Amino acid sequence: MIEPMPVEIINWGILNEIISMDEDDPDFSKGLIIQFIDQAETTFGEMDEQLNNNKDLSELEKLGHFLKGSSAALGLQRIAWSCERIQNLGRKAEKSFPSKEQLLDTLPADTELTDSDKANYDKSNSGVPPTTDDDDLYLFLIKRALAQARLEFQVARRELSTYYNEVL
Amino acid sequence: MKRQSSTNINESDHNPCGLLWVKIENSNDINNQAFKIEVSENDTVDDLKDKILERLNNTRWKSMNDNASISLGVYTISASTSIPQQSNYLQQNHSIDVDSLNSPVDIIPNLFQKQSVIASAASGTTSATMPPDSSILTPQPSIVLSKLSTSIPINTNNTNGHPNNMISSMSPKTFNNIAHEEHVNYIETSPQRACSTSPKLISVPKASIVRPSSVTLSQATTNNNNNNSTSLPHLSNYISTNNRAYTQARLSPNDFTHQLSQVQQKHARNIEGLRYSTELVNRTNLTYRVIFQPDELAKNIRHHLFNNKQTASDPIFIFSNSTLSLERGINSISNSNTKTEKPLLSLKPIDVTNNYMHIGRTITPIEIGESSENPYHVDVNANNGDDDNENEVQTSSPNEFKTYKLITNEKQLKEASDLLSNEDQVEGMETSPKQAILLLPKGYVGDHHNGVGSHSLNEELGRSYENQKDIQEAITSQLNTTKSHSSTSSTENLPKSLEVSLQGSDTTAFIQQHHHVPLNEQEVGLIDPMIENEWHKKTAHTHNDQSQDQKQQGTEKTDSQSSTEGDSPVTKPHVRILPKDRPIPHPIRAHPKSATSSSSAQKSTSERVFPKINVLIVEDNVINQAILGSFLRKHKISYKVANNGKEAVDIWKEGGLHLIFMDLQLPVLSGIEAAKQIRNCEKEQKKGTSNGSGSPPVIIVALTASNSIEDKRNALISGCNDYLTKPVNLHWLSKKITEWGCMQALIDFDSWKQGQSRMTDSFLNKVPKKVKMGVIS
Repeated sequence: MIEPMPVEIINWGILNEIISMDEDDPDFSKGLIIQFIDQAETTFGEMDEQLNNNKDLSELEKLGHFLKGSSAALGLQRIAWSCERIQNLGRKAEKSFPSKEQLLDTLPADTELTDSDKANYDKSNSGVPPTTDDDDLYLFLIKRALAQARLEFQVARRELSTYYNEVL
Repeated sequence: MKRQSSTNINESDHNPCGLLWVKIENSNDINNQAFKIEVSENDTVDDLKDKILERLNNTRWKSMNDNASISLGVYTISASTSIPQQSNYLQQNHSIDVDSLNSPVDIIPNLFQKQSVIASAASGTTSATMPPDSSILTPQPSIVLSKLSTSIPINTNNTNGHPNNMISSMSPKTFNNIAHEEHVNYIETSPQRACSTSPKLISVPKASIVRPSSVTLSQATTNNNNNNSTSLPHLSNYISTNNRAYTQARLSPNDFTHQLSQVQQKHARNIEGLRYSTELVNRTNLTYRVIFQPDELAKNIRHHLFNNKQTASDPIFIFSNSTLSLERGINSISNSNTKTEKPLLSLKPIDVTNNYMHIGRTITPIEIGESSENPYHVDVNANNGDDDNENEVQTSSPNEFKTYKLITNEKQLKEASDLLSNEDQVEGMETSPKQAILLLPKGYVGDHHNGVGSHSLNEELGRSYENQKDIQEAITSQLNTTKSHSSTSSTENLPKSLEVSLQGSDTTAFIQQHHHVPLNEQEVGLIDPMIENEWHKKTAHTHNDQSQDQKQQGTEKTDSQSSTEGDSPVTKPHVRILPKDRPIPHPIRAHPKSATSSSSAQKSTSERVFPKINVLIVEDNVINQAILGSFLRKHKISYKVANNGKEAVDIWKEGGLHLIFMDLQLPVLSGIEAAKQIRNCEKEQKKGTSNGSGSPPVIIVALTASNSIEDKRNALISGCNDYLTKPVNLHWLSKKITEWGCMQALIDFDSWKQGQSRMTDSFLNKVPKKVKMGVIS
């Protein structure tokens, strides 16, 4: 049973704890966020690499786990959720991934997606799942999960940019 | 890690033009030594303060101070001026104040006041110096007055000064400065007592001679003003209001009755050309504190004060509010040679580890000696007294002779503080932090504790002495709980005399952990003198049900914990079902209904007692490392970071670790494997040391990203003592750290190691098979 996708893009309860450390250390939270953005983009790239070339599910599992850790720690729970899917798909603990319609529905109503968001999302989140039950299925599902993670990343990034009043 | 370098980068942007030695004033920390601060070309005093704070970033001192609360300065000793003369003078000054202001508020009926005077910044070109001669320093007010067209009565007794100089330097600039006065007043009377605010204002003590030498003409003006010769209404206003500020803030009879050790060194400070304010800190030998204005350039200080050749023995002092407020407590402010030696008991946590403490009845002397066999020997014969009594504690420590009140809960603190502030109002003295003694575990370096929660300690001590049986039961159930659920909370009871057998090192860790668990953050800080009979009386008569509750808690806990663990902490990290009546290491927001005893504790979340422990963070994700690291830094907990399990084992082998946060999924060597290796090593070490005197086992807390039961079980089987589900709730973590750290602090108690048959590692090895606790089933 797959956990439901959290609705809120950012769990402010968690992020605020980190922001509260700015008292001692100005811009600490923003620095972390920027660091995370770099980390996420790098990790997404590595996932792409695995999906396209190595097709190593266990590597994908590790990458999913890795990014899940930091995104969850920052309260970016929808990214963390997507990464957890990648992690679980990577070790074949789950064998499905919700449809993109379902997932888009869970986004907050006021979420604005740019055209490029949608294009990228649709592009890598389409196709017919393999009917076989081998690695290809999991790779396909992971690809979709990665598309979801990227979308969530863009949405979260925008929300954080709004919060910090600065393009992050 | 990344961020730490940023300031260095900033510094390197400027050209360093030298170093300044600075030293925290009036700290009795033996480690308090002068240290160097790099001074850049354009650094102001304010920048210096930032650098100092940066430099001291990880210290306790830093936690009590910020830029606004500290100031930089030096001490200077003025030359001889007789006190009678001053008194005379002061009296006269008052008359002027009265006449000119018609404001009773501004009349300070205290002859021992200090005057503050304004002067413009000395240009430095006027090189005329003013000898420390009273005839010069008592200037001619009448001329000034006439020139300034003021109509204020003038006392001409002291008019021997240099009026011309004075007038000439009464430039418009001076008046601009005066315009700033009110701000200064405001700020100086504020609790934060920013020592320095308005640029170019110099407030000078009233005593007629401020500087022994090298006073420029414009500063002479200052002195003239100071000496009551100036009767400008606004000046007087300034002076008198400022008097008030200073009187409240600084001067007390103690300052005068206490004869300082003889002035050993008269600092002939050349403060010419610097912007500063001064405060009289000791009337007897006319010690002044010269505090630099925040916009003064550091290089000027170097140049003027030290002629660019400063030594560590002659540092600039860092004055802070917190130390200032202590001066009353130690009875004096001394000159620069002696002040740093002054012990400041009041705000300093006391290491009582090796001390013998004796707490009696309502009046309870505490003896602090050099040796004892018992860390807390508490005489619990006390039978009466109620919460509202303030228990007087006398210390026989060589340096401390004042009587301190032992304040053990919030109520007492409030009362004491009310009492003292009343006194202060009467005496016109300052109202600021009062003395308190905190009894803390060895090595404690955490924040101050405000005294809440001591009740639960009472309860526990009481129980531990008289209800050992109950406690054993409670502990038993606690350990049972632990075994099956990996406890997430502290227990209620303090097991004083349990004996537990050693059944393998994994369980040893459990036993030790939960052996010591009972002290949680609220409890470790304080010992209430009227420890327990009183408590028992109370419980017996008025809180019967409460005590019953507590007796049952051991069993309740099992249930509640299983329900807590039954929830899925991963998906709902902040929603925890909490049992009632349990002081819990849980986040505030997750605390639905706390019992009365723990509700007060909740208020003090920000004032935690963090024990001194060394933590190892084992995390491969730099962001999580940074978060945990920042959290630990914030709480002044030292830590190291390992990126994988192998590094973790290696660092652990170096020794000194108390607590490991172990991520489970790690590259190279997983957290599970690392924990296993560490436990195996511990086992071997234990075998190696014949008498079991090896270091206590490290506490390993697994950080699990998933909430799968299996992961958690694996973690516990591999030797982890506990686990946290990521993302780690920081509120919760701080509670846990306190709990774990307190355990470690107790484990490290010297005396506990020395054969108290009750606890810790020694008995674990000596008495391996003696006890059956149905615990480790």
